[in-house]
Amino acid sequence: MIPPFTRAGTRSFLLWMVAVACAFSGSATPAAGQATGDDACLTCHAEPEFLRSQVTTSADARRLHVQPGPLRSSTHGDMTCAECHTSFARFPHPEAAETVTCATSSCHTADPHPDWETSVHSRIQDDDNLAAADCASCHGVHDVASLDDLQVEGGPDQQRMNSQCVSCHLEQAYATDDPHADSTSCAGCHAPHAMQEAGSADSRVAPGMQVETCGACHEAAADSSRVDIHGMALHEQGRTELVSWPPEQADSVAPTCSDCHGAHPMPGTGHEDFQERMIGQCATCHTHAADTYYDTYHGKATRLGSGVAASCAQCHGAHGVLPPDSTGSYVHADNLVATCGECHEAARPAFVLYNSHPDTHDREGSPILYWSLTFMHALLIGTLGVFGLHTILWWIRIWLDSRKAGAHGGTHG
Amino acid sequence: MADGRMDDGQMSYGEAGTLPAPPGLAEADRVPMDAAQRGNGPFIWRFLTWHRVAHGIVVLTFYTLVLTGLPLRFSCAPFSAGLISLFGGVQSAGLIHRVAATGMVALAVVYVAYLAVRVWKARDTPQRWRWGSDNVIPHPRDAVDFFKQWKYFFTGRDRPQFGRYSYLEKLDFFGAVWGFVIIIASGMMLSFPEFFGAFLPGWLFNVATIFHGEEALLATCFLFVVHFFNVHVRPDKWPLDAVMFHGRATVDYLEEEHPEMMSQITPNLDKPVSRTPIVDHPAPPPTRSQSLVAATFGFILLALGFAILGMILWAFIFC
Repeated sequence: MIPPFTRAGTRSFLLWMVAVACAFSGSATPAAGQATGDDACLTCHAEPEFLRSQVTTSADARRLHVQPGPLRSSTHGDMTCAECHTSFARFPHPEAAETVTCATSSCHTADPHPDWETSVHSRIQDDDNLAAADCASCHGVHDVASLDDLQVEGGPDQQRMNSQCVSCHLEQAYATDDPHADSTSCAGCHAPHAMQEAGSADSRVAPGMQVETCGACHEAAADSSRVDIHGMALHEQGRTELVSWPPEQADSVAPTCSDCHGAHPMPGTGHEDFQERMIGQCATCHTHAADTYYDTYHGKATRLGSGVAASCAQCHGAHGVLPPDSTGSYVHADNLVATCGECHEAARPAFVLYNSHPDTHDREGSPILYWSLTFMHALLIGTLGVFGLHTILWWIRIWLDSRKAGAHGGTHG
Repeated sequence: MADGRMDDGQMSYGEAGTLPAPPGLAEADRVPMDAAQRGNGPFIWRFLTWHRVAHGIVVLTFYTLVLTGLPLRFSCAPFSAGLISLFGGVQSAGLIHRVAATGMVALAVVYVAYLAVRVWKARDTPQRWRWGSDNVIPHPRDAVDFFKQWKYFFTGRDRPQFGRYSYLEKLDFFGAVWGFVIIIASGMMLSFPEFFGAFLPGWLFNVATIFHGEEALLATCFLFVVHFFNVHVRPDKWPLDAVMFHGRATVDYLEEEHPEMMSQITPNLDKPVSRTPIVDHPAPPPTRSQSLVAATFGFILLALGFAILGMILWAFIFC
């Protein structure tokens, strides 16, 4: 306990104590012994009231304050203050904080540091002097978590680090129902020490890299994506134009994981909007297929929230999509009985002649549907036209009659 | 009068089922809301209980089918999601649609059986069910009446003298027959795709989808435009004709709407009033509660019909 001295008295007492401690230790070096040296530091830095009296703002005081508990339980708990704070000669000693380097000759020089120099956070720091992230921004100062703790998916240290990312990248916060919220940190996808800006081809989440990055966990999805039409176009053509398929959108580019699934936010497969979102993503390129799909019971019921009626992926697959003329396609003529049979147990070769994307306006391609609709439209327009006119004329006639009757002063019926 | 009626069977002012009196109109000039109760009596039975029940089942199942099917036909319309959720979502609306359809199919089966019995019973008097002006079977005279009616629209003269059923009523009836055949056949296919898909090619389901949706649209528009106008909201019958609800109409009404039939059944006017419906025989006036029920249902159905018509137009703008 601090004796009930005056504030000035407290200050001089503590400075005296430090002087004594330093005298005992000789100098503040690791060789002088961890406990003794650190106790000397903590004499001041563990005392918030004292620190507050030394600086102008309470924020500065908080920055200088060191809580021995978290420090000792951190992964650096066995280190002395002076191992990081290599430079302090006198009081006060602002350089003690400013000169801390994590990548010293003995620490953190190897992996993952080589990437850091070229990463976007490092470059922003060097080039623009923005408030970009440095080691302490993410890892903390005196409460650095161990690598093992950081690798506990969804663990408290990952959550803490995520909140550090979100403190700058506000828009990228996880939604509470994001499927990754409890299983993967920001760093899980974004390679923290090799982070590149959005749009960079070197980014771990660039279109060409996503199958590898996401595939680190989602192996099956990635494996089938590599050989489906989207994945092949993406990797063989380098996300250039997909001119062969689909025919209606020649300027579209091959989609990658996040084009369909999103990233921030990423509704999970169990999310109520997942199916609707996926159809919307397919429809951005496959417009004609979407339009004709919504002319079918499948499409109409799905649009009204059926959740049971088939949508794109139920027939075409999600990560194994191939054009219908490919023998591996779920919708290849030879595979349709099996594909339709997923829902329609009694599906037979005749049954699968059903057109899931009927174009009733295509007279050449689907004449039966075209003429069926034309007949029904003719019947509809003919009937309503004739009897609509019948109705209007009758109305006018009754009005004329009633005017005439009124003029003659008589009433009818 | 115990039931608040005048001797000619017309309801008096202030009773349920009358039009609100415009100010200054003499009480004698006030007319009942129900066109079938206007003019001089006595009342004549026009429809048997069975006809009215059959019509009622058609009405109830039809409205249910339209309200549950419309959101699917116009799934892109802004009202569809709300309407389908009124019925508890797609699955539940689909179930209600199928239950109503079962009622309609059951009615169709019973009706066909009823017609067979009628034809069998009248086998010795084929004039009852063959061509003639006195039954619903189409007759060349209907075509003549149709053209006479257009002539009347333009000249105001020579209004056709309809028999028991005008060509418009025959159109209502056979329109419903055509609609039943198309809707039930396509609807059965779409309800049981696995069963029908076992022996029918899959593209017939595409055809069935087109026929089901477009025929439903035709039936709905026809009933809520043409039928509603001809029967209910025609200015000289406005606002309601409840003859199909309580089964009877005044002699004045029948002379106006079915003059040829009325001239043939005039001798029946001397026969005693029958409480049980006997077609063409004098009937007691509808009771106050019958009038009230008929008017209530009539107006609800009319309002709902016009609302559905509005939704269809709305959907056409959005889809």
